[in-house]
Amino acid sequence: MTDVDRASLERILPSAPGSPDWDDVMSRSRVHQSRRRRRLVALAAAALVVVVGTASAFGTVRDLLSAGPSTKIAFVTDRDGKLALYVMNADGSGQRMLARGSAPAWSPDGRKIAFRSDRDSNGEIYVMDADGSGQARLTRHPASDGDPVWSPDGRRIFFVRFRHGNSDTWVMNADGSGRQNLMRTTERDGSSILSPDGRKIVFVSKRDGNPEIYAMNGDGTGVRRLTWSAGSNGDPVWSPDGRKIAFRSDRDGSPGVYVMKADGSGQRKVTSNAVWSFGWSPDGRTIAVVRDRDGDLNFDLYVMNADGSAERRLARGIEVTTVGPYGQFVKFPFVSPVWSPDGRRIAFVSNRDGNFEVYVMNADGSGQRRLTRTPGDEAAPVWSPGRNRGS
Amino acid sequence: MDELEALYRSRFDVFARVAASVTGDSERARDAVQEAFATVVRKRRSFRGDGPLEAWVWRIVLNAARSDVRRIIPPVDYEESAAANGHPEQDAELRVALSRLPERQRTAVFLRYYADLDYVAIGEALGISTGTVAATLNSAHTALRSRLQEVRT
Repeated sequence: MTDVDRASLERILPSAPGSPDWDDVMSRSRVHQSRRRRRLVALAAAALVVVVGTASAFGTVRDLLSAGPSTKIAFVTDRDGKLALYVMNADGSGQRMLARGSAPAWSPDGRKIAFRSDRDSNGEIYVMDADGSGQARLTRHPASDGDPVWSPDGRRIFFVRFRHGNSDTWVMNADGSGRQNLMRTTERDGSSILSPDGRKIVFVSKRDGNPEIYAMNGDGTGVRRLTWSAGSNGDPVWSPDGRKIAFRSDRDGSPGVYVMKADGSGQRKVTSNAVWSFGWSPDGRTIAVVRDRDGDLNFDLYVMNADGSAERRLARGIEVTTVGPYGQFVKFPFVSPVWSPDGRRIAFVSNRDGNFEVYVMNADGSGQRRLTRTPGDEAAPVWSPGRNRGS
Repeated sequence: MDELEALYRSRFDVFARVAASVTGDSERARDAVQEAFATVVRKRRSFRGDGPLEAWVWRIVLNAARSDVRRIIPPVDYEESAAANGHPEQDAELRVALSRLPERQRTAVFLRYYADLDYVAIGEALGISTGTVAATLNSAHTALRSRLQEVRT
């Protein structure tokens, strides 16, 4: 970059505020001891920024597999001053708080919601009935747990345990028993993504040098490498039928979205240029991409066929939020657009009207509507499963 | 001197100034750096050493800075800060272009070209994958280039 060098950045940055004071650091550190528990919560959550974004986005994609009418949207908000899970009808009516927490994941039958909360100490996985009753804690560990995802049969919950800068994927029964680490590696592995049928997991690891995508069975066995290229490969997302994987790679020098078969064959680039996030439509025919194609600093939502053809812009000014460490809203377009289970609508978050609110539109981009209207910020909308609801 | 204290003393300015680009305020940036290092001192034993120490510290510093900015990240007054640095006229275009970048892109630019971190360390510091670092910097480049061309034509 010709115009950005150290000297010009040095001139531009605000000047340093005072001089270093190590004694002050040590004294603050002793004060911390008395606040240890509270601080641990925030710190342990520090690793969550991106992983929450991608994994929850995946969770929503998985939840979208069941067809049928969708009735509810769960979302995260700080409208009451604290981070909380809310639910509303798809038209924005009936908004109410279910629990303090974040990272909501609907069970496949729509009757329960697993979520993350740090109410008892650090981040742990909880579960509740879809009306907010019967809240129960499932994990109990000094490390921070997050990103719950249900197995398709609703009997198990996968989650991510963040520890010492590393993240491992664990699985447990839906009642919290039988917890098991699926990764057991000391390498720095990235977030793990469960296949739609619950039988495979893809993850990103630097175990062979540069970031590559690997797959393994749902029980942690049979690890195999899917990508073999220079550059970095990451952010894998399963197609709804589990036969393809979309991922990000900069193997040819510019970051783009690629698609491959689940066994790693047939890798091809479908789009490039400043892509921030992407996701599959429920029918697997379309890929949505949030990116700044025009370089105008506005992130727009595009959809295209899964082979990259017929690209069109659906919405402007998308800036999808996720929930970061300390529970603040991180205003980065990380999270993939969220299709309703029937594929007819897309929920997204935008600050086009000031602060962050949840919007829905038809899948062709028409009929954009704002659903929330609060002084707080809203984020991470998740549709309830459409099938078998209440049956 | 302990490695951590050495890092603090040698890089205080760099930490504080990049943190100020997040908080928009030098004093709050200083507070964030002090709090972050206090945290690091206490958490030191839990650092496993599987990545660069500095990258781990960056992450905690940036998170502390961001935690101070719970809602809308206030725009840094680059005009004022540059004037304070004695270069009121210089880099005006770049200042404006940078101020219009999303926070993550801007921070990535500062970490790469001011703090001299490599992609892996930036990934650690921002809590994102190396691929996302590449994409982030690519987007920042594109946006800056476009903005700079715009003001020059």
